[in-house]
Amino acid sequence: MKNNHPLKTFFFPSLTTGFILRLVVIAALAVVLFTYVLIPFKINGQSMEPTYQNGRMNFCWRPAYLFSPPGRHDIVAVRFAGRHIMLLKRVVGLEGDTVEFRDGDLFINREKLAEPYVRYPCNWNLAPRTVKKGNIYVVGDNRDVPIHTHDFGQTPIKRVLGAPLW
Amino acid sequence: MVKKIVITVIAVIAAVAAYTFIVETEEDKVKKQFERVAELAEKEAGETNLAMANKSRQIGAMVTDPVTVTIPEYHASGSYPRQEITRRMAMGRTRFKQLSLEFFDLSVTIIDDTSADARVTAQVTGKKLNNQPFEGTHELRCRLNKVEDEWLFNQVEVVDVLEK
Repeated sequence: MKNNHPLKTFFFPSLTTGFILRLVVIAALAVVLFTYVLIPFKINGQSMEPTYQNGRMNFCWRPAYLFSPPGRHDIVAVRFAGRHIMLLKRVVGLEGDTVEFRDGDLFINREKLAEPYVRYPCNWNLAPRTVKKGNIYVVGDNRDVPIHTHDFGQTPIKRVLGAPLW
Repeated sequence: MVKKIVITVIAVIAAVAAYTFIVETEEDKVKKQFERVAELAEKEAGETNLAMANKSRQIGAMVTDPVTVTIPEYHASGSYPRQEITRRMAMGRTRFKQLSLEFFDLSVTIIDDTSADARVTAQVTGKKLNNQPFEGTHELRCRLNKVEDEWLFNQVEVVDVLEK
């Protein structure tokens, strides 16, 4: 006797040619989507707190900077050798800018930058430096750590993989 | 029809898998060296001095004599004899209770019969002696030379991803 219960058909479909083709196409699209367009990642670390909490999931939206370079205050994913490990940082300086920290305040081109996203005070000091051509200067939002333990600095724009989806 | 498709797909997968397992390319040999380094770098709590010395010696044997190491963050660059690498490996291990090294996104370019370039992300995690967790991630650029049918590390450079 043939059982056509919808739930059973959904979980145990008949292996028809159409079904197999649909399955292959969906699997291939999912691989392409989650490998090249929307890369899932888990935040590991407190560098971007309180904006991004440790342990949360997100996606890296690759086409974010397909037609325009990252702008100031944007949050970007910076790659290492590949896509498996990325740094999530905020862009504070663009090419040609002079970046400097004075008693915890960030100065861009000798003017204090308003940073409402930085909630924890810090006492960082860093001598002025110029962002090279083709580079951006990135820093994490959580500066409540000694300056030498926080990963920040300038990096080539070509290392930017994309932006977090939310 | 469906049966034929399924059989064809299985046959193709089996053929690709068999080829991958049977044929070991030079690229695979280089990748195996990284796997071996990761294995040897692993340290469990309570590692004996003998095990530590043995692992450090084996890592030392995987580099050319001398090997060039460049770490821009510490303004350190130099050519070190194999013995020095072994000694520094052993010294470094004593600072940690537990250590684990993982490599990600390894890409290998075979330049010629005796040299290859590799780029990889290395992530070290572990516990310091005071039980504080430790984590470090770096991009590495390596040059390996083939010596007596074995790929040995000739240059290791830590790439400055973020330049302060």
